[in-house]
Amino acid sequence: VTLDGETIIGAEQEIGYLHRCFEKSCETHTYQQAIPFTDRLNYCSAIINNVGYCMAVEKLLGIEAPPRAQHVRLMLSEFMRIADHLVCIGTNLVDMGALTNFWYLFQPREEIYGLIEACCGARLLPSYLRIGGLAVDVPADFLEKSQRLVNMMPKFIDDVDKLVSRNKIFLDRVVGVAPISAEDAIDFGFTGPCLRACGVPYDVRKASPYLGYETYDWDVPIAEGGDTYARYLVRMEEMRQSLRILQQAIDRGLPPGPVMVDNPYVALPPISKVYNEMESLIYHFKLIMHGIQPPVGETYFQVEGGNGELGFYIVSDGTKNPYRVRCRPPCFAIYRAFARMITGQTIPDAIAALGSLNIIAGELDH
Amino acid sequence: VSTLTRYSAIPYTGPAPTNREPYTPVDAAKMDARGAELAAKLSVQQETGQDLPTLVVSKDRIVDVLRALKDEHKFTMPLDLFGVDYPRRRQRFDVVYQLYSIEGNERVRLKVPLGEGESLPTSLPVYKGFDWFEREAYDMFGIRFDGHPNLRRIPASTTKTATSSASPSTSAPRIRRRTARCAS
Repeated sequence: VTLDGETIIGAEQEIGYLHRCFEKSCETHTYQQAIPFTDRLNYCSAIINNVGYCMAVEKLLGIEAPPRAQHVRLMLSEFMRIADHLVCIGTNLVDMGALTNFWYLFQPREEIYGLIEACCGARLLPSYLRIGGLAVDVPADFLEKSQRLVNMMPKFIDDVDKLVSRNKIFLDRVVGVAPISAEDAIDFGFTGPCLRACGVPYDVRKASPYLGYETYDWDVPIAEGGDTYARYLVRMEEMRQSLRILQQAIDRGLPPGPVMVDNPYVALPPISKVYNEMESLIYHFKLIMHGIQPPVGETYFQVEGGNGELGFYIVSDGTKNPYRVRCRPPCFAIYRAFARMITGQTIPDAIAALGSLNIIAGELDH
Repeated sequence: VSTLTRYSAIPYTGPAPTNREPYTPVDAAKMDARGAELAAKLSVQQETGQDLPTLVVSKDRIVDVLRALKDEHKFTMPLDLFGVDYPRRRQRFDVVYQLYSIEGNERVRLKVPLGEGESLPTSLPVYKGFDWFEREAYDMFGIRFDGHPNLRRIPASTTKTATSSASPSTSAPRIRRRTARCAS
């Protein structure tokens, strides 16, 4: 930043400290092996990245995960979105000196990771999804665990809401800070909560529904002004909307059936069959050695990530390795506008604004 | 039907993997129709059989086409810009643009084929949001965007300080030969 007294008159962002060649690494791995890399894009909502990548490959293969897997994917996506927003708001408030809220918000986040752990054993970077479904079935008490979470979550959100939303100190720090107009936001390629904070109701889940989001009753929250306060309000409301979706999903119950597609060219056969049947052993060998081989072509699939539109563009040359994987990270477009947003503001404003954009370096730098 | 499927104990009756065969998206016909409509209006070529309306534009016309798409067809949001490398092709690179129209809720994909060492004009006058995406394509593939005000490497810019203004010739990344097979 360049300062004139305490006012920022010029700024420049430098990124790349967490560049790990995600796109290039995918080209030397099989389609399944790339899933753990996608976890590390937005590590606050890892499962949404898994969903985006797996559904892009499934689109290329022309297959669809079974209903049970889709239902679990949707529920975990919403839990992850809440976790993402909890981290964003929590750390944003810590940056502004409101430490109490951090503890209030990180407790439900911890519980969400407990649920993910019950599903697959891992917490932060679960790699729970597979192309064609899920790695393993959810535990028997998955819905009860989810219901407990959905019941306890509003209390924590309301506590923070009461502490912060009309707090004079907080409002002084955020209202009118680092605003961006709707036209500029669109022109910079903003998506997700940051765009909706400018009053543009664009949400991938409504615009091009996947996983059956169109069958749920929920609203897209928007706010006016595009400032830091608007982004905070949108995220708070989005968590409540996610809870609405989750409550409906729990009420519908998990569809019975398998969690992996019935396609031996995509799904590994069960281990008992691998040991006892020749054909299954061959399928297993073929999948491990030669991988999933989609048809030649290219495809793009987008999901609504924690920060906005997360898209995967995959080029297949018919071999076991993707020819090109391109990730469209929402942060990349959003962070570009940061310098412009904070010019004319002060250093404390820049800190509040940065937290509200929810920049995830893993995603930003690939 | 392959031997594997015929004698399998797994009750699978779907098709065998169709690798080496072209991928046909389910909504290809609809997308092709929309692509043909756009291609006729903008008098550019079209690539069929894609999951999005896909236009193939020459590098000389790309800025005009982008401007027409933004102003006349309401593709106001720049979503993505990246390079794809096909080393065995005569025109080695594809620069792919993806745009979104909030009003029409539709997407469009543009491809600019580019030979090795060629450059194309920057799209910044039309879409501010493509700034970093162009810098990224430059960093990853060495694709130059003429007229870009600040064409420095990103995200691998950490070797130089943010304020240094290295000349493009010294900061241009080396292009590595790849051995992978290419699709076309």
